[in-house]
Amino acid sequence: MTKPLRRTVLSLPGLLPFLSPVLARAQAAAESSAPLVAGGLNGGLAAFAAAEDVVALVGGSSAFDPDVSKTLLEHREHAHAYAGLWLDRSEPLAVISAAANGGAKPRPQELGAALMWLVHRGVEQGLEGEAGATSDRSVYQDVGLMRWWAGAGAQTQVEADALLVGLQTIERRLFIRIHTIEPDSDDPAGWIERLVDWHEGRAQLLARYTSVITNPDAALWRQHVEGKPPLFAVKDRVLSVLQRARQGDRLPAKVVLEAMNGEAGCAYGQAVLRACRALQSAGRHLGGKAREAQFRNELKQLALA
Amino acid sequence: MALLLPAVHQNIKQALRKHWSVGMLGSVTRMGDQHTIKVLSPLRESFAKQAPDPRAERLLAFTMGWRCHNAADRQWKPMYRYLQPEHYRPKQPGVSAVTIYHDVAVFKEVYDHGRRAPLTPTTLQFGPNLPATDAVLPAVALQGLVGLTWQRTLLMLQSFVAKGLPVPARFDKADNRFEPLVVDEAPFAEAYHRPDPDRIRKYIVAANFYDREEAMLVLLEKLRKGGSASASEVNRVRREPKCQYAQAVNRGLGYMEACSEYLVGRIDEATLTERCDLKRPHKPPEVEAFLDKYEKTNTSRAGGHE
Repeated sequence: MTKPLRRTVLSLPGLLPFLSPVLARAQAAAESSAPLVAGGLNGGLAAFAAAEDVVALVGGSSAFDPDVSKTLLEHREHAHAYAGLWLDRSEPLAVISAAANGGAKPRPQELGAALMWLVHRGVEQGLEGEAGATSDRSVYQDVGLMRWWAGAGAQTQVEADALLVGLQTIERRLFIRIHTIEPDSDDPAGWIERLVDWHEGRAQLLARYTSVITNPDAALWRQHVEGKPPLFAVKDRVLSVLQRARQGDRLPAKVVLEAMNGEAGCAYGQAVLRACRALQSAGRHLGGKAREAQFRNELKQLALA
Repeated sequence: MALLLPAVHQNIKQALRKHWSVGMLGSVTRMGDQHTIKVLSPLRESFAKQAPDPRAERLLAFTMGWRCHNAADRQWKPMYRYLQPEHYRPKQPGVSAVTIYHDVAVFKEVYDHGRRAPLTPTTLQFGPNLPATDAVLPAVALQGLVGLTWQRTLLMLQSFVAKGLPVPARFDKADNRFEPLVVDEAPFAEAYHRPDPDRIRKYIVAANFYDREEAMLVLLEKLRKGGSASASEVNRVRREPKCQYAQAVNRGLGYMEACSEYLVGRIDEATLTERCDLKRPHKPPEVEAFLDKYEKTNTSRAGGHE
C-alpha cells in the first residue's frame, strides 16, 4: 500500500499537502548546497530512539568528553528540538568550532543543539533515513522499533482498532502534557494551516503504523527491517550495551569504548555508533586535542560533513 | 449547539460540521484573544457572498475553537482562584487540583469516560502498557519519543525558523516558542480512579461545576448522542445557565454569534472586541484583590504560629 502512495504524492503534490514540506526537505538535504529546513533532519521514531540511546550511553558512562556530556545531558530535551533550527550544515559545525577555539563562546543551548544535530545526523545517515519521516523506510523502521521493544510480546495478535486507539491514546496524553500550544504570533493564519496539516498528517501516520503492524507488506518489511544488515539483530553486542544504557545501568567506560571501536551487526547499532563517533570527534575538538580541519575531516569520513 | 443557532451563519456551521477536529485543535491553543481579529478580518470581504474555500473553513473552525477556549478561561479562571487560592498565592508548581478535577469531570460527563472522539477510554489509564494492546505497544516508552518529535515539529511550524535570523536571535525566539511537556498526567489518572471526596465536594458539588440535571446539560447530552432540538429549545436553556459548565458554553455561543455578525459585516471590530471580551483580562481586578487579601491573611496567620 505504501509504495504507490508515495509515488502518487510525488506526482500530485496538492493531494496530501502535509507531505510536500517533508519531501521538499528531503530534496534539500540531497543537494548539499541548498539551504536546509529542520537542519536537514527528517528522522522518525527509530531515529529519535537511536539518538536517545546515544544520549543514554553518554549519561551512563564516562566514555565521552566531559563538555560534550554536560552540555548534551543538561539540554537534552531542548536540544532534540533545536537540532532542527540550523539553516545550513555549516552552522552547527561553526558553533562547535567556536566553542573549541575560545573567543566568543556560543551559549550552552546553542552548543547542545549543535551536538544533538551531529547525533541526529549521524543516526539518520546510519539508518539511511533521508527520504523523510513519512517514507516507507521511516514508517517500517518505526514499526520495526516498536516490535523490537515489545520483544516476545510482538507476536501477540491484536485487533487493528485496538492498536489505533492505543496509538491515539499516546497522542491524547501528550496533549495533556503539553497543556496548550503556543501559536506563531508573526503569522497566525499561516501557522493554523501548518498546524492543521501536521495534525492531519499525524492521523494518517497513525493509521499507517497500524496497518504496517497488523498487515506488513512482506517485501517492504524484508527491505527495511530484515534487510542486510537487518535493522535489529538478536544477540548483537552493541544492542545489548544500548539496552543496559537505556535501563539506566552505569556502564564502565571500557565497555562503551569497546563497543564504539567495534562494529554492530545491525543498522540500528551502526547508526548509533556513527553518531557516537561524531560525538567523540567533537569531544576531541572541544578538548583541544584536534583542530578544526581534523574535526571536519573526521566528520567527512563519517559522511556527516 | 452552535449548529442550531439562527444567529450563527451557515458558513460557520458548515465549517464546524466539516472540521470540528480542527476546532478542537484551536481549543487547545493559547492567545486566541490576540489573534481572533487577525485571522477573521481577511475572511470578511467574501464571507457572505460565497461558500468559504477549504482553507477559510479550517480557519473558521479553528477560530471558533479558540473562542470557546477563551470563553472557558474567562468563566473558570476566576473560579479556580476562589476555590483553591492556596495554589495561586504563592504560585505553586504544576496544575491546580481544581482544574484537574474539572477536567476529569469533563472527561467523564462530556466525553463519556473517553468513549467519545477525540478522546480514548485509555487516556487516563496508567501503567507501563495499555490493557488492550498490552505486550505489543510499549506505550510509556513510545510516548516519550513521540513527545520529542512533536517538540521539534511544533517549533518547525513557526515562521521565524526559516527567516534566516542570526543564531542568537533565532535561539531566543525558540526559547519563547518551545513547548515543554509541563503537565504531569498522573494526578489526572488519580483524580479519575481514586478521587478525593473532599475535593469532589469542594470543587464539583459546592462549586456547581457540572450539573447533568440542568436543562442545558440535558439538552447537550441529547445532542452528543445524535439527537436534535429546535432553536427555541436552545434559546430556552440558554436563558439562565446555572452551573459553571453551562455558563462557559453559553459564553462560547455568544462569542460565536458575535464572530458571525462581524464576518457578515453587521458589527465592526470595536463591537466584536467588546462582545468577545478580547481586551478584558481573564482574571478581573477583584480576583487579584481577593488573592491579595488571602495571601495577607494567610501570611499573618502563619507568622502567628512561629
